[in-house]
Amino acid sequence: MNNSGVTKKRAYGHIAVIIILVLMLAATTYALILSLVSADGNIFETGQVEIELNGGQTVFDGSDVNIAPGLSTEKSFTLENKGTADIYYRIYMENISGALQEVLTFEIYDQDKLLFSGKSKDLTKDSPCTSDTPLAPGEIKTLKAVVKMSEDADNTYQNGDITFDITADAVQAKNNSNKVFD
Amino acid sequence: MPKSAPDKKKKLSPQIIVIIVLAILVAISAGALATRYIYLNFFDNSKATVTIEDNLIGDNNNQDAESNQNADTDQSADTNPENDSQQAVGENNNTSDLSDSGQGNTDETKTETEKPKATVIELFKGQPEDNETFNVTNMLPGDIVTKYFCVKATHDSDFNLLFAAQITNQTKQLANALNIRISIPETDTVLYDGTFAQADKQELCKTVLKNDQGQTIIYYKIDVYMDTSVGNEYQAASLTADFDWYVNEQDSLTSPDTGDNLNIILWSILLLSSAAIMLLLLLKSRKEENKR
Repeated sequence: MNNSGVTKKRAYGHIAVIIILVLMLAATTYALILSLVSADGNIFETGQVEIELNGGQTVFDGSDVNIAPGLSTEKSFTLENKGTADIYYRIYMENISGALQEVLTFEIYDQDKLLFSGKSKDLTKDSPCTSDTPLAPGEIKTLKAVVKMSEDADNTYQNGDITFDITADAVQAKNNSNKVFD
Repeated sequence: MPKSAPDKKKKLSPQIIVIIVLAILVAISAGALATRYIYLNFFDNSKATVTIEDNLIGDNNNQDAESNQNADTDQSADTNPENDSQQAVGENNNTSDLSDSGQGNTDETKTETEKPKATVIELFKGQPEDNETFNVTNMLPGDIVTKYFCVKATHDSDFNLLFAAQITNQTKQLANALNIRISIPETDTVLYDGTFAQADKQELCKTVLKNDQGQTIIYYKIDVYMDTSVGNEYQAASLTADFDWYVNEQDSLTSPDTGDNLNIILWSILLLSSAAIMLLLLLKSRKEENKR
């Protein structure tokens, strides 16, 4: 019993020593035969361009717009840069329908600065309302939309309406001095 | 009994034999490392050249010293185009560069570099901005990021310095959209220009010719860029890669001389400990046999 215990101990000891020696030999051999230098862990991460229009809410929901010839109504809406890079934005209308599009003039202001003025059909993807200055990441821009009905509008436009989608696109400001969106 | 006793004395158990063999091999291996270290540190005089190079590379006022730039670029050190300063190592013409540094005697440098050496490469901190890994965030289409890596090779013959970029992690298959251009600024040679995906694990070879100095400094310019045409599908993606420089010629390989003394101390400890283990085991086995 005693002898076998000692033998076992010795055997384990031998195995441990063999393992250590093998590891040592592997390490020294590796160091001897290999000539290698490394620059490890190079990281490249791309940025993100994302914009949110009015928090996802409809700008003109029809509830408080009751317009008449010569009158105007205004609404504020927000643009938020939710990406990681400075962006330029453009705003335009799509899917416009309804008789009022002929007699309504839209104006978009950045504070007191007029960004766009014209009929809804003029505010298209090809001739959008664009920003001159980039929007920084996290920045929220509040714009004002003023809708005026022409004084010349006759009774044919009574009970008329207009429906449209407002779309905001964003593009990186960096490496894009010409503000190319597409 | 009288017959078996001498047999026991002679016979060592297989485990002991394995241990002895391994210990001897470790001792030889560690001894070789130690010898190499001692040689490079105490008998290899080209070490002085290394110091001079370092000063020259970091000297921004040395731009007037380019008059003797060596046209045979493979045999001379490569320059870092960021400041157009010339490296010290090279053939023939580099002596005035060395004197410009105001350190050491150039003639000494010439005569001290005749000793044969095996190929040793190491990332060489030529300038503070060299050899710093890329850590690029918020990369956008049209962006280009450049870094310089400096490899110093100590060699006594021509050899092929290999470079490989290995992608270790990526999301959204960014390697298909992210481009990498690896070039040697000194010779305006582009080793590779294409996507990371194609560069992955591809060996790029740069032949380094033997020179009088026995040492060559090679700058690698690595540009990582995204075309402006890259689409939105690669937004918020990431890629991690390792860059390796190595030499394949087995006959001229040694471990890189990193200048880290801790390494050689470690090897020395390993050498001594393995020798001690070997002795202890031998003594112990003899004692036990004597007792029996």
